[in-house]
Amino acid sequence: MSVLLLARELTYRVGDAHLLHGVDVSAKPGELVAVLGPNGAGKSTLINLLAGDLEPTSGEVVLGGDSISALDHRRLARLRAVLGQTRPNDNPFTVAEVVAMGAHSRRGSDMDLTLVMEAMDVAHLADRVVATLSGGEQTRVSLARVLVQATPLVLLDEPLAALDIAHQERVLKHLRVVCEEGRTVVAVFHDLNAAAGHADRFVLLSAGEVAAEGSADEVLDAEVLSRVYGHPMEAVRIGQRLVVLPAE
Amino acid sequence: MRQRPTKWLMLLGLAVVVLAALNLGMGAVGISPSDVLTVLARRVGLSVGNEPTQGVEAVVWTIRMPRVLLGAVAGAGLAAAGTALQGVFRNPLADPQLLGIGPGAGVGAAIGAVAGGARGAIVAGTVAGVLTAMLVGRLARRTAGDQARFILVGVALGAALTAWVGFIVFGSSRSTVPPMEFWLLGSLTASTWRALGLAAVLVAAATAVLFTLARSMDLLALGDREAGHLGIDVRRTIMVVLAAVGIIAGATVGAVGVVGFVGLVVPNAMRRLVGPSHRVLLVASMLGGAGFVLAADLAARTVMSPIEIPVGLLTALVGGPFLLLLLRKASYS
Repeated sequence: MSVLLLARELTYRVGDAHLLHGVDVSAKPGELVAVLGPNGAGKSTLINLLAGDLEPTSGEVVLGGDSISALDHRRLARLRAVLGQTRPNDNPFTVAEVVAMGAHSRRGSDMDLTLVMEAMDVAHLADRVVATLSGGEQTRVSLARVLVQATPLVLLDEPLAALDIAHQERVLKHLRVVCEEGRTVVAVFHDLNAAAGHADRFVLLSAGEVAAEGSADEVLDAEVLSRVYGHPMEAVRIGQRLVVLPAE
Repeated sequence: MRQRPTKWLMLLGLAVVVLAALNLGMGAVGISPSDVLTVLARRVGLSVGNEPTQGVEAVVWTIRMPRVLLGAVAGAGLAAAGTALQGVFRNPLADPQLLGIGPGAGVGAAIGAVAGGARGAIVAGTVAGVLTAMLVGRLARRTAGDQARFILVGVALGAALTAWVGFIVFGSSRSTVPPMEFWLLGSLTASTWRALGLAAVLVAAATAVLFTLARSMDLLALGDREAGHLGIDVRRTIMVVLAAVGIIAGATVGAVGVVGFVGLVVPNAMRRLVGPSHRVLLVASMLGGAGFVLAADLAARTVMSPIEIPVGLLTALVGGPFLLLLLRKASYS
């Protein structure tokens, strides 16, 4: 299959406000696609539409060859996993129990939960009740649960929020491993540099539209970023890595 | 770290058996344990001991046995209902009586009592319980995210519906409808085998439905959207749970009146003992609920003997302070 996820002409309107307008997004198996953009650009709305949580005002999301509007809850749960932005913090279950919940919709997969928990550095917290964890730890537990769902598509809305820099790198590296398994990750990032070092492709949103789309060199361009973020930006190379900095 | 639940389930089961035995023997007429055992043994076809007198036989088998079983069924059902409500709404304060489902069932049960006696009360109470539960489901959507407001809306609904029960009670003949205290504090006094049979079937069917949704209730602890992402049809799950809770509330209110706080106190206490997994929690709550009502009824019949006080007075005596404790730390975890 050449394309796993295909969103065509996605528009989402609330009253007179166009939260998203004519957005096209596609992702191939094994790709890590970073969705970038300033606050209010429509990143979370896009994830919600791709997840099937919102119904587009117009346009269509096709996942694995089927329109997601035609898929029921169970089928969708086998095709895509979602890490949303808001997570309740009063979960009474333990970390191990919550991660195991990710396997609920799976059929016949023998993924080792411990390996995923170790990858997200939560294995040592296995017996702790989730509500007693810090925000960053809870995010890592949620990530482990989402990855355990073992779906071809993984949608992540700000997976690095509340994570320290070491855990950010650890999560990003594991997302690369997930992609090497042939799964597709579409993730919203606020940290342009974290995205720059690990994503295959970038979608830069601005005011509900795609401002730029393509490789790091095409999207993380000082001129493009300066225009979209409304602040002068610089893009410099340090070794192999592209680094974006706010200009003086 | 949590304790192993099996130990608690066995202890709870033992407590229910002991409380049931005490209820059969104690009361205005004291009956020795050997006489109680003799009556029970002869009822299941074992000829042991001396033949009990007709009076002892009537007290144990005709009066106390249906009362004990109905108390256990009501307690188990209400605690299971509270467990399910707290699970799907992630709200430790959710309780069928506090949310107005019990009083709603009371309106139907009071009308049913006028039309069809004790069994009419159970049938009509069940219908009204389901309808009120559906209304609570709509109110829950409107108060989404505001747990305290949701409970207060339920309390307001319950107050209004209790007023309607009052109009029916005071507008009807005393011989057809139980008195107002039955609808406010409950009573096991008029328990019969006929009422027990119908209530037990309804409660058993509804709790069986709740057990089939136990895993979905677990996943709802992650949040509605997250549970949906894992393949749960959240809206359908909540509506089925509400329907089952409506049946339980209706059947119990029709049979024993509005016994408060069982669905609030027991699930919260049991969650601490056996953890939040609903398959185990439902079993623990049912045992705990049965034990709680049996203990309350034992006290109701003995603390001011020969005067019998309403069982709901005792559950409220424990439940009121417990609610205050919960309000100090209103967290589902």
